[in-house]
Amino acid sequence: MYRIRFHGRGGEGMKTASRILGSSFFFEGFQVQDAPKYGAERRGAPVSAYVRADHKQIYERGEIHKPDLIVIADETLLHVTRNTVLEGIHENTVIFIISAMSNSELEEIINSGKSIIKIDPAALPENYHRFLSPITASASACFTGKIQSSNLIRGVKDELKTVKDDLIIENVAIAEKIFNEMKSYSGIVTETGEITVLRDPQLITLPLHNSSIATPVIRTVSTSVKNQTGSWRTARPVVLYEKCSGCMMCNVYCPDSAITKNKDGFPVIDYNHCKGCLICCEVCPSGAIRKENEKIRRSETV
Amino acid sequence: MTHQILVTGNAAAAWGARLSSVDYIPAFPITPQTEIIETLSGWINNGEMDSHLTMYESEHSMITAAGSAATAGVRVFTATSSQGLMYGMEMIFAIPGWRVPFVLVNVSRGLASPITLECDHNDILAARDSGCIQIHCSTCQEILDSVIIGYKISEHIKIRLPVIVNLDGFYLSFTREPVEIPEQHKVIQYLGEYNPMNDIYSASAPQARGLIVLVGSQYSYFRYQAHLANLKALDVYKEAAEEFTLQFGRNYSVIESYKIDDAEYCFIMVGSFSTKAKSAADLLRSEGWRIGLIRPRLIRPFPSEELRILLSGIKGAAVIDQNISFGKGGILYTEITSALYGADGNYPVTGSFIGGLGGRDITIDEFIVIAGEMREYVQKGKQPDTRLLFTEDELQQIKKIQLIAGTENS
Amino acid sequence: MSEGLIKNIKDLAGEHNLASGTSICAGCGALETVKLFCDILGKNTVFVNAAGCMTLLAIYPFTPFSGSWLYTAMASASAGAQGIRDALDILIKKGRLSAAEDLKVIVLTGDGSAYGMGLSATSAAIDRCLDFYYLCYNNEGYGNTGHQDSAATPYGARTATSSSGAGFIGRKKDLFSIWAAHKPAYLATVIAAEPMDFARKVETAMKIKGPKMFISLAPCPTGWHYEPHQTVSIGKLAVQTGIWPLKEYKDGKVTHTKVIKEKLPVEEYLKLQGRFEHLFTPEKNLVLINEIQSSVDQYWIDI
Repeated sequence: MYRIRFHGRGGEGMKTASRILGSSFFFEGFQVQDAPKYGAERRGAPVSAYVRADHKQIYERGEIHKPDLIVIADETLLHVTRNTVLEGIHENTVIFIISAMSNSELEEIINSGKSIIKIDPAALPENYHRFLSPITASASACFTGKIQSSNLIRGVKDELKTVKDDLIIENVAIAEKIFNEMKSYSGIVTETGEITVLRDPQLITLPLHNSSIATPVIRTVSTSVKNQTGSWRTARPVVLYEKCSGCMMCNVYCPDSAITKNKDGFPVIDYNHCKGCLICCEVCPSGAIRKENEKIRRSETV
Repeated sequence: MTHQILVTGNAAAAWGARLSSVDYIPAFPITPQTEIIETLSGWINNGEMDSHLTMYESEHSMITAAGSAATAGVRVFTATSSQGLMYGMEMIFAIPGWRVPFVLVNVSRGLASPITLECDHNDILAARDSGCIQIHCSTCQEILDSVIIGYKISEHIKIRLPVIVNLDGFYLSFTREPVEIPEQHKVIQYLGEYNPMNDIYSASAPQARGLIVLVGSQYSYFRYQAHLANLKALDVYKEAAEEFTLQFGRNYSVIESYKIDDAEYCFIMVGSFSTKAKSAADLLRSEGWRIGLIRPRLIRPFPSEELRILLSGIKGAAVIDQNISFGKGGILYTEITSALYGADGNYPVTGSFIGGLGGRDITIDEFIVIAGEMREYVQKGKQPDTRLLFTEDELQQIKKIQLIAGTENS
Repeated sequence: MSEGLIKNIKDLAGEHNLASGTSICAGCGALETVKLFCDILGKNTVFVNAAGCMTLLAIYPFTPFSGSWLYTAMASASAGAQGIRDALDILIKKGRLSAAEDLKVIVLTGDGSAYGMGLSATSAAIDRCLDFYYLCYNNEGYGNTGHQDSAATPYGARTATSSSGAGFIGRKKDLFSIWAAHKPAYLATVIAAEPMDFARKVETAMKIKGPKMFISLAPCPTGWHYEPHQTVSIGKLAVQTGIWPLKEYKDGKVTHTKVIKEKLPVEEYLKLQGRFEHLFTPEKNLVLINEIQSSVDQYWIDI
């Protein structure tokens, strides 16, 4: 069975990618499962999706804990949710990532000694963010060596049948391009049989607790600050203090209370929590908040 | 000084709330419950009771407010019936998870459709899996006492779940019986002043409650805790009932048993018609039968072990259900037989009889027939099929009214 | 946040009463509304919530609030608020809670609850003269489930359940008038993009006992299909085009608190949002745009 896991952010199209790949396998005659995995997270929050494909009916269900292929559409996830993204790597796991980092940098970060296949964003169209679904799905399809390009294209078209024709054409074109470019890796991802490593789940007999703790109640305040929603950010606002007048409009309008005031009366952006909505850039009357590319900065700070 | 007065089951329920010094009563009228809230409102308005009653616009709102007020630190009483309980059912299932106490009196009435005003138990049994504790009453005295005992259990630190006290519409709600009214100070002594524990909102102690839980393991933990608390309520109930006996003299075991010690046969049922089963048992005993009654007072938590002890050695048990689960049969029958299945012991042949739907009477003659049928099955050694108590005469009446309705040929 | 009266917008800056780290979409207009409301009202609050986007504000064990919170159900948050208000009053009256510990009770719902399922419970709470605040964040659809049309969806908008042709063919319910007909103590429309108007209204309400109702238009990048950074500018345009009239009801009178002399054409507002994209491409649907424009014009003529 193929077990393939996609990682990206809400809005980057990982669910769509898993469905394109799922359909492609299906058109190829495989039994398939594909599903997104998300909770309360919103656009920008780390999300995943998965595909299983086998020659017989699939009895496994739920999350994939031992992936044969891990697709990372957004390299910043390696910093913010590394353990989730790299969970369950086994000896044949292949990692596919879209990243501007050098191979050695990537190997150092991933640190697993596994095959890493990289596409540099520089080699992709400037607006590649809009096409992460066909890019990741077609690369994955190619890596299995089991999917013909015609079935991949059918998968893309099937998934996008409600969008406008010119958009379908663009998606198909990029899927075909990536599929061809990745030809040299055809078959690099292999199937793994039934996962039979069993361990004692160590079940317990749950005791009765007092009612005061046995209900979802919070008896303190402002605990949400423990959620580092800064990981949702794909672009960051940066205050240019030389231009800033200290009017604090950014602080007033920031929905997330992620801008504080320093002792001199100037705004400080709390990057642990800023989700990168960039309302502050828009409302700043002095143009003193600049939008910067999150990815580059994140890489710099590793 | 205690004294007996003649009151309806509804008034007895109101007395239970009054003596328990409830702070707050969210209310909404519905037949046959309305008399409870009117009685309480009368007492509040003439100054006999220091409590606050708010009329809501629906049972859904009323039960929401019962729960929210309980999270805010007051002793709450509320009451409903039938369609009202169903309308509020979202909250009946939601509030046990908040782990706050209150007592709700349900006056049982059959559910639509067809709509009816008369009694059966499908309303209360629809709340069976909600997490609320259920006490089923058979006399007006028992209603009053169960409301008081209900607070004792509901407010226990390990429990903190709503308690539903159930009484039958018409047969108890509108029926007057002599009821001993305990003295207020003794009830307060028994219950104690209301202790909100942590369940109170204040400027200095904020709390966030009723929170969404998006992780399956956390959800499992909270749900199973409510289950464990509900199970624990069996012990807590026993202690509360013992203390009640010491204080007030009346005895309320988790299962009432009548003439069961030497019995070969028994009726099993809940609610007010169970007193008719006692008459039938007396009559049958005069003809040489060894027969009695088993009446669970608690349906949640379900007293499985106590039931097994009582049923051990009995040859035939007739479960009479005043409810029906379409496509399965009597709900009480299912509960009872599941408690016996696979248990070590010598358990009876059990028969399932559906009777008293929508307030239809169950006559003494029918109890006699049930006993006779059970004896036949015991002799054959097999479980009988589910049986509706329904007569040829009733069927003829149905045919007549279908004629009037013009539906006989459709 | 400075203590005391908010005289200018800088008084709204500084520390906030609603903490960061919530699971709410980036650029959420509803979150901006709640944050502003918390800042003006102070910390001694209990929010009673109905099913909607803001249910996700507090996910166990994380709350952004400096005060208290209870999630009830979609239909009955106003009843939940009544239960808590009554309980607080009982406790204070009976001497079991000091008056200094008292809290302001706020119902927080989206338009799905306010305009639909929760309307009956809210109507009854106003009837009973409940002393509470009601804050409706109106994102004009069932936002939390992916933006299907609600009773607050504007004519012509595309939603997940009005995805073809001209979009939503119903008319947005006039909840302001429905609530006003109940004669509440105070009622206002607000928007977080106009924080001073918002602050003045909340401060006015704080001096009044009884039902204090707020409907806040909450631009929604996810459901309205625009980039998150545009939330404030779209909000301002909603006011400047006259689409979202800022007004209040007090002592039986409706007053418009921001009358725009030279209103911008509604197009300026509509064209920024993906949910109205079909009005502009493949070609401009002048009939529909004019229809929307004239209904706005008619509103301002009528008042």
